[in-house]
Amino acid sequence: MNERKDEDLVRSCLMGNQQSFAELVAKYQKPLFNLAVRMTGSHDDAKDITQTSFIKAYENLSSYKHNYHFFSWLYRITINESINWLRVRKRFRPLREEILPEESQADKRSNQAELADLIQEGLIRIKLEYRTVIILRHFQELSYEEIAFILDLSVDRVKSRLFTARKLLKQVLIKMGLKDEK
Amino acid sequence: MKNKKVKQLICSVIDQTASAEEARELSDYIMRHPGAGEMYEEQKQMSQWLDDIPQVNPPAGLQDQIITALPARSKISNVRTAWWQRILPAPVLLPKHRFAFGFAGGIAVGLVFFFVLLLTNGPNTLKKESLLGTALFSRHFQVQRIDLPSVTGEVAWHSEQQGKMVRLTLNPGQPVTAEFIFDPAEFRVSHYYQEAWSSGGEVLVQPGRLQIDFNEENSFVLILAVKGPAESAVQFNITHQGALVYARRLYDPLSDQE
Repeated sequence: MNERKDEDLVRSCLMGNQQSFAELVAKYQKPLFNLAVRMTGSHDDAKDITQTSFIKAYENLSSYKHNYHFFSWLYRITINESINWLRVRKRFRPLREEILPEESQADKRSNQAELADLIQEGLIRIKLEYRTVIILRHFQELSYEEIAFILDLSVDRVKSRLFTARKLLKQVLIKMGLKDEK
Repeated sequence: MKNKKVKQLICSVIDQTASAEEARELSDYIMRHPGAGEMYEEQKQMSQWLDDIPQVNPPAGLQDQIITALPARSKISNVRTAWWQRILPAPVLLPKHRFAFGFAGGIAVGLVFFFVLLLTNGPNTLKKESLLGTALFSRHFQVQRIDLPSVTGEVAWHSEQQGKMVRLTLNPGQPVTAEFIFDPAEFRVSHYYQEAWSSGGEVLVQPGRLQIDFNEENSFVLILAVKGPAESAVQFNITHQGALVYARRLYDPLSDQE
């Protein structure tokens, strides 16, 4: 991710050039959409969250400080949007784990795509703090330092949390019927 | 090696951010602790599965939708936002950190309040006479008025210097003996001096006791500095012709009785 370019685009956008923001959208729509999909487990909702995150970023662009990465700032906004969305969602919908019977998942794991689906289901079942760190590390491929900045944690804390998150996810997957292949 | 450290090392090795030394350290540890080896394998497997999950593509047209939505939203953003939103844009804090920031904010407000008091009261801030000083010291350093036939004066908190200081002002009008009695294990007389010492008068310092003898012509102020816990009591007595005519306990708010 070219930071100098991002900063230039932000400055240009602040001077009224909306095309610069369009470039930022083109560059980050995929990682942000992926982040939202993994956080919420829903493509439709991820689409809305991505759109809202970009709009919020656009509206608050003047508050972005250039001493940290633009994408880190954008990720923070998206994570918060996802968390807000999940809160509202929790209020009005039963949890996904209540909808899907566990037995139905057991026989599904026959290929990579199904494992991916199962992991996505598992992600939704673990706590947000663990889900977020897994998503940032494995789906966004961010460094520990970048994750630490986004989540406002120390690097050591990120490592410990990631360890626990992967362990919990494994336990959830086994509960869902995944064979433990040690 | 602590469990936490092992977890962090496993993460660093799996995510290929560990130094050669760290990798060796983990390897040695796993050799000695098979349980750690299992944890490592589990993490590695999970990590591999997660890394193999492909990225999903955003729906076609998302970028256009976002760009189209911008002008309308930007008009809204032209409306003057509240000053606190301009200072602290909302969406950058995770909810779990809000309490911590709120707490820190409370501390900051408290400090600001304290410094405002400091500025408005100047050097009197920590004195008994100040607003803050009243709250801080009144329980332990109450002014003790001495009203006896022909003896007037007071024992009070003396705040012009640091430390716990007792200021004794006495216009006896007759020969009296004033004494402070305290537990030498808890208090000691670090220094004393007299102001407006007119004539005569004797100061006797003993362990646990400070005695001042003076005649009716003495009129003086004595500053006694003591060191000790605030809860401990100091007894202040005045005797006249061998008879106790006045007694007070100082520093002890719960037994501040004559």
